[in-house]
Amino acid sequence: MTRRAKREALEGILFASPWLIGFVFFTAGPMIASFLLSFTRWNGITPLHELKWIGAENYVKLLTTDHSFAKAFRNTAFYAVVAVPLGLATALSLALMLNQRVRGLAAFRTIFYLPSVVSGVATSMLWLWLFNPSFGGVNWVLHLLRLPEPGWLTDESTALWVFILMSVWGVGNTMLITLAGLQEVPTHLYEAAALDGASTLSRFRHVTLPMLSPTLFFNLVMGIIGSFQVFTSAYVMTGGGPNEATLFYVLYLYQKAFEQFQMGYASALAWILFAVVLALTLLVFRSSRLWVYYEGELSS
Amino acid sequence: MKTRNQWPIYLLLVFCSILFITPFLFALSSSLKKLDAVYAYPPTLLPVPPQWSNYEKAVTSLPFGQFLMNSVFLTLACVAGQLVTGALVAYSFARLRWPGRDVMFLVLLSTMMLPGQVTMIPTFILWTHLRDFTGMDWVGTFKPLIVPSFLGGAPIFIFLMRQFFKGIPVELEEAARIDGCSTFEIFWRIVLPLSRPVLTTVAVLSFIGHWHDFMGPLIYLDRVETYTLQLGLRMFQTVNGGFTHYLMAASMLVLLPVLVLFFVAQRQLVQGISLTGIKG
Amino acid sequence: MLHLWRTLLVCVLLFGSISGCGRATSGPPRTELRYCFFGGFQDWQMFRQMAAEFERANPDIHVTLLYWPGSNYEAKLQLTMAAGTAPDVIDVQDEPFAAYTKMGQFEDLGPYVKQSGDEYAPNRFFQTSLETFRVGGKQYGLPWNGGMLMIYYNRALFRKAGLPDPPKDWTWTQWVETCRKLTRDVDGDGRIDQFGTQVNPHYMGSLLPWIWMFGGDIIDPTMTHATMDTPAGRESLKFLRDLIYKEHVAPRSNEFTGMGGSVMFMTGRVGMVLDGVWALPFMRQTDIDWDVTFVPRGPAGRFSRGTWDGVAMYRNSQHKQEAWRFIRFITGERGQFYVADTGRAIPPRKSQANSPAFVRPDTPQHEERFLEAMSDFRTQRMPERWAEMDVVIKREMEKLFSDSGDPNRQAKTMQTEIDAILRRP
Repeated sequence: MTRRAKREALEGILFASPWLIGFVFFTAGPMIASFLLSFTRWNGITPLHELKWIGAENYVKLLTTDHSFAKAFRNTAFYAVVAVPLGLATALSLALMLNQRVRGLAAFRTIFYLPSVVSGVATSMLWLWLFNPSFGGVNWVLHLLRLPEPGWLTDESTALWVFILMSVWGVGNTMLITLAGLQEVPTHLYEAAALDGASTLSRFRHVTLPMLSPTLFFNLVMGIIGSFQVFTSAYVMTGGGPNEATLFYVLYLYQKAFEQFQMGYASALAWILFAVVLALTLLVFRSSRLWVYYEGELSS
Repeated sequence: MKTRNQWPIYLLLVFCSILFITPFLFALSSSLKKLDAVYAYPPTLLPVPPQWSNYEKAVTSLPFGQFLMNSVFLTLACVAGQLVTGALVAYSFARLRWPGRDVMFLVLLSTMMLPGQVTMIPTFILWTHLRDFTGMDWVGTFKPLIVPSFLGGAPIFIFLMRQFFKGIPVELEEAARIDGCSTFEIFWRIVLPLSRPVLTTVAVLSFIGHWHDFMGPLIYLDRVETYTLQLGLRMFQTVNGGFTHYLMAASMLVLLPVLVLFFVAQRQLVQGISLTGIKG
Repeated sequence: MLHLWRTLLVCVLLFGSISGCGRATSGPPRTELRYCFFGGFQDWQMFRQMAAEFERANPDIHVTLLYWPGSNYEAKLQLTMAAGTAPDVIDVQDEPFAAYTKMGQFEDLGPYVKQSGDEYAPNRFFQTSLETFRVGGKQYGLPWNGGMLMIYYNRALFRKAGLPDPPKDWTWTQWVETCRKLTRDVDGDGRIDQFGTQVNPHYMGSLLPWIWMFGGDIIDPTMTHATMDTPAGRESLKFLRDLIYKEHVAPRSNEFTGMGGSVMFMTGRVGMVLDGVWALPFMRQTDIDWDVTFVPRGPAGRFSRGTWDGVAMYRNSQHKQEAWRFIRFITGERGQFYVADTGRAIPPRKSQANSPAFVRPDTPQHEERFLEAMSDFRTQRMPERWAEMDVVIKREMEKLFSDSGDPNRQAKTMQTEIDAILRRP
């Protein structure tokens, strides 16, 4: 390396040093520790030198005989598969509406963003009440409209939907990012398409969506990562019930770690989650070549 | 988009707004009811008579003034750390060449996928044992909550800033280099001033995130005098239910600063996000 | 713009360094004692008063109160145990107590108790309170508050149904009859909107009195095997299920479920609810005309499920003598006075139980019945693996109260699974 390059390399590492140091001590270190823990039986309390090495027993048990694990995984996967696209679609719709020159834009934006900043505890209590089958706001409205009133959190088939709706209510951040992406679409492309005689729908399909695809890609990845980490609301609202219908993965992890004193097992759960999310994200990255257009690659 | 025929859009917006704001309105009305009225059926939106005393009771039964100061201090400190160190790290990934840089960037991105529970216990034990090496307490103070922000902060913000820096015309920096500026001077005098949009965005989003942080303070803070607002809200929840009306009242108060901040800064926020070129 | 940020940063750091400075302590150095506890903000206020009085009487000790609110108390406690830095004195519920003790986290308080003469003689405490914190014959904790379940009833609804206040020693058949009279379709829409009572599968404590009154129990006295699959066990499960499906005096799971029976009670949807002494503060916040009365008598007797919270000393505490002094204060006359004063728990020390602050002679409700019912107080047996058992019990109880429930099947499943848990080495 030339002297100049050497100096740049040194500066580069120096500038990045805060993160590098933090990573080694507070991310990599604990990650390795928790990885090792996943091969042990430990109650999470007694001194570390008393833990028992049991090899891959945790993983084997998890993947073969643990029904609750399978349930938790299915629940979380279902939630992810439904809530993420639904959230993206909602965010997109809202952003499209907000992208018009409407009066009171600031007020509307604030209203849509509001739910994502109400504290988690209050939101959980609020939704517990809203979806109460007997005296909650939602069923009251359904009652007035003479529609059937589901059992929501008391019914295995509808319980997860409460959480899905809750996540849709909180799309504020995603909406903002989508709105920002929309505003970046060059207007001359729309004008050109209009001149060519394209309809509104056609313009949306051939101009908006492709130009928006990087933003959608970003939202998709962040959405997947977030959907696998649902915990507080489930913990406060249902504790995983009824009959494990809302047993989210991270909730199950927490129960194993702190309520049933099986820390080694919980570590194995954590690593499986990490592996799954990583794999999914890589998949999305790979697929992005098919549907994400970056500026400069667009053929006219 | 031209302004022709706006009424359908307007109506749709209003309808969606009603859907989005109604739960919040119920929370607001619960904050002004007596405890049994909170659960009355059919639900009433207007509490009659409004129990303003709920707010008074909520604020006086706990040291909310102290909680507010703690929340403000902690949040501002974290935002400051995030901006300074995050920008440094992001610049390094964006412009400086060093061995292993691209690999480490991928590692950075992958840490975003880490569920917190994976590292919670070992990290806690680490912070506890730091006492043996440094002779001072870490757990029970604000330090474990602030230090991570000074070590680059959240990966997502490093990512956003890096994307933005990459979008700055490199000719500006090259010209400065020819004039004899050091790397730090280029960073400080040229890149940062041009980065106002992304810095504002990161500042606002980081503020909102830290204001809401509950797990961090729960794990690392012990004494009530150090508690933040989010932790304080928990005190209205007991093992067998809770004082929902006080909780709602307190939540409304905690919500206000963030709401005001958003309302004021929303345009810059959206602009800032768009300029980071998430497209890259 | 950058100037603004720079000044902001400087201000923040200044403020931080100032507030980070230690508290100015004048006078001779005091031993710092750490005490952790859970609960609502009322508990926090109570402990502040206790700590203040304790410090006045013990000027060489400073009590640092660690209030860990919300439902994550156990997680937080376990984190500190894992790190070896748990507080000196620990507030602990009876459910996980055995598990923590078996993991060697608590100090044997026997020697300390012996030094205190007859201050901890069994007759000074309500029975079962001291036993709850005894493991393997040794005393690892001491009780500081507790209570049991009683029937809260809505007097307005009773009057409307033409019912007098329940007699003190009523039987379970009389109770069921009362439930029937209270179950009505109030607004004539074909749907029952007021029930006599409520059965909650997630709150096992509220179901135990019924199981016990038929002679059943979950596990045997030695805590080595389950006893649900017995005639008495099956009969009690059938009784509970019949309340919903045969008599329909309690709502089905999709009819009226909410955030617990007390909420249903508060909104007049349920005439009677079995809840604990800790529900008193919430009831007092409402406008309902309510009162408490005794659990009815079943074929095997009258029982109410009670629970005690205790204080324990951390095995690795560096200040054991001081910790003992504080434990002694909490469980002594003065500490117990504060407990009674909050009006929401029964102090296990008998001498303080009759405090007017708890009994409240000036209100129409008969809180003193909680004390009169102490003879019915019965605790749940909680072995080390209680948490795992709880998962099974909750699941089976949910099934029992669903449309496809079958008392015999649920009893059998509980029996086999709990046996498996207990018999594991």
